[in-house]
Amino acid sequence: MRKYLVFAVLFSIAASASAHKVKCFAAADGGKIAGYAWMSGGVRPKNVPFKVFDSDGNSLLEGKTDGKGEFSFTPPKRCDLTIVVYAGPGHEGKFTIKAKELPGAGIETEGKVAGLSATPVGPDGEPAPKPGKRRAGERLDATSLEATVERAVSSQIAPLRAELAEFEDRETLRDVFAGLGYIAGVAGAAFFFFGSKRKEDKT
Amino acid sequence: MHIMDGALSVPAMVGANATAALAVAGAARAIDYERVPRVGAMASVFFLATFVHVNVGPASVHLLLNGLVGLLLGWAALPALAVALFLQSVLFGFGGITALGANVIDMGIPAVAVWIFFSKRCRHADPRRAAAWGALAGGSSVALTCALFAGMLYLSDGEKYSAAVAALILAHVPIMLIEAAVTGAAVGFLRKVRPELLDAPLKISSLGTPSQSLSPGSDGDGEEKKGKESK
Repeated sequence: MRKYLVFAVLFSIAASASAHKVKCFAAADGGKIAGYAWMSGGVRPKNVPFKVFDSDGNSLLEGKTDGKGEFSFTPPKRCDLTIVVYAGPGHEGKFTIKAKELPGAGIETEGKVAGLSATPVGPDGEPAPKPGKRRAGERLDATSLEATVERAVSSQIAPLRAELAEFEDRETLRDVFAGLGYIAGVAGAAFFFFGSKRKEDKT
Repeated sequence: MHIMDGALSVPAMVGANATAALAVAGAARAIDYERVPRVGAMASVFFLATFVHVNVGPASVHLLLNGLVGLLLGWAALPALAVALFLQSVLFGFGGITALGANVIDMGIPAVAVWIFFSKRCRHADPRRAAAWGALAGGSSVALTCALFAGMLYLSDGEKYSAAVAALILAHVPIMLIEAAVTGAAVGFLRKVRPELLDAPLKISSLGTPSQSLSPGSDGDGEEKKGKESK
């Protein structure tokens, strides 16, 4: 029995927090969706195909990850997009990016910016000129301000969200011990079962 | 090497789960009171082996050690692998829960097969030869697992995976070598230090053989099995 224990300990030491589950993460970056795939353990699947599906499962576009396991594409359609990275047979990573997280979401879906009136009001109370007719030197109108803020915020948040997504399903040493505990528990249950059988047989 | 959710077609998945459930239930009869710790310990070894990763080019492959589990457990390897695979699936997402049966078959059949082919040879050889047989068992169980894995995916959806399967087998060549070394070392060591661990094949009581003659060294075995069946 001691040998098994030695085995188990050796392996748990060698058990770096790694797996072969493929994960991927994506976020809006400017007008594009950028993201990357990883296999837990830090390996990035390089030059593997990925596909983008809409919420009904229709394939919208496909591509390949680059040498760093990263990908980016322009969202072809405003809807919930599911990105699937194919890193080998049975090794697929999925990530769904919600329609409202897509760049410029507030403007295109609702026709107006939430919290602001449909016709943005200029500094002196007059209706602001339409985008495109803007004169040089004029202050940013609400629409492009919104876009700028969105870009700035998403670039700040993206690394955090990526980290969170990676953290969420990183298997920890705690889980490894949990699994061993379960196995010990199952063995204990088996002992209980066989033990009661034994007693019956002996009496 | 674990098959993920959705990688198999529905009929393949259902068939694999049903087959695996029957096989595990039948093979669980090979476990008796004395062997529970061994089965539990080998389930733990298998559970942990999956965390030992080797990076091969762009892919990352991990140890299986199903050959070693099979050599030491015989039929009882099936329930041991089933428990460990279930936990890997639930705790870490290694292999989908719906593909559990397919994974049990993929890794369990090679385990039982190497036990059938190599266990006697390991038992009766001197430690060095036993180590060589063990190494052969470890390597070939990985090869067989790859073949089953590939076959399972191919039967399920040949078009989708045929190209990737070749890459998968290639990526597992280093794993075969490592497993051969590990299994060989373990078997050689056990043959030298605790040969009785290799000496006690675990058989299924309901294969038509009289239960008393099954396994010397575990008294009360036959009665236990009878009690279980009558219930």
